Amino acid sequence: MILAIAGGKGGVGKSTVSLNLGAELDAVVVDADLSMADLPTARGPDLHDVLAGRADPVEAVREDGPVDLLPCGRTLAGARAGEVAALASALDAVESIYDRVVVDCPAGMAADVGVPLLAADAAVLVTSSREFALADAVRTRALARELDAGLAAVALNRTGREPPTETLRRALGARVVAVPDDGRVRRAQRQGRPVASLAPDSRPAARFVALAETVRTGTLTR
Amino acid sequence: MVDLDWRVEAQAGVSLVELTVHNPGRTARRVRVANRLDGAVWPPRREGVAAAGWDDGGFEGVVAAGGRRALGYASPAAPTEPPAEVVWTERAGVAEPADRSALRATPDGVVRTLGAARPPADAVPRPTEPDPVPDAVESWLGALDDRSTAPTAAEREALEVVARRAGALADRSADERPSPGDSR
Repeated sequence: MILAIAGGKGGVGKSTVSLNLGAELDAVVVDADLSMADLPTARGPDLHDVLAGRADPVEAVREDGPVDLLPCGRTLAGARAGEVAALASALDAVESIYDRVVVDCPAGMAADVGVPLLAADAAVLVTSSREFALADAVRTRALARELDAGLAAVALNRTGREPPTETLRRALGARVVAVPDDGRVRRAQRQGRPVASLAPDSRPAARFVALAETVRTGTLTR
Repeated sequence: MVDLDWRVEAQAGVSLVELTVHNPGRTARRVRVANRLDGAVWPPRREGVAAAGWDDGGFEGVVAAGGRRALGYASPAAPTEPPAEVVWTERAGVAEPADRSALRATPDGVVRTLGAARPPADAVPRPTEPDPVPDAVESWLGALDDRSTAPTAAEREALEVVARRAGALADRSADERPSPGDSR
């Protein structure tokens, strides 16, 4: 199963959701934000090398971190050199070996979002409860639908006390899981770790478990 | 059947092929146009990927009833005549759009439709040669250059002093190259 984590808007926490969801689903997390990669980097071949035909996608997967990760290069030259269309076959190759793949998509609505959505079996929309983020989420949902990636769940990220989950569920037509704003999530993310490894009994850790469960049921029943 | 009108010209070692496919019939036809030049097909590109319908051997697409399609490609081969030929045609299905095939069903289709988000070439830093001019000198001159106002009298004098010294130093012949201590 390939699961695309998208949202349109930048800065809503797609990378955080990708890393934590990847940990819960025991998946390989692919950092596909080609020009603004956010997940931990590593020595050796990365996604830029894969898309430029210099490295094998499966060999670029790192298994030594807290979450299996296909890292992305950081240079603009690398982002420019790669063929984004090759991302589809790279994701398929990783899926064929590791079975479950979580793709951290970039912001925006260009092909670097479209190709993972095309390759994906399902998508998770990440949004915040701000109006402008919601508009982007709706647009991304339309694109996912057109590219045949069913909406498995919506992660309403960094919520306050009373998240508008019901409103959002009606607007987007999918199960909504709210993840509360929590410093421990950010701290764990900076270390490239899921929050469950730092604070397993915390509320956000429990919410990511719930999100993973929603994704599992959402993708099985479709 | 369909008619193929062609023109080929060579420019800078590259053959440029212009084709018009005309379908005079009353039904839309799917057409395969194959390259006859002795070299690779360089197809038109959209967002960095071959335009819809193009592959290594040529073009395949639908020409509407009574319609024309203009095609063009390049090849590194020498021009021969005719440069391309229609290898087969068949009646097109009703659902096939006349001018856009396989809109998004493939990764290339997605890139074509949505546009590649690669950073522009200007944004990519070039590998830099070590600059022969010291940074301090460069930034001083650069600051004067970028400013919209003219240099003050003091600055003009400084520039002239630098120009004189730079000229004098550059004129020295190799055999009287100063020891490091002399250069200041």
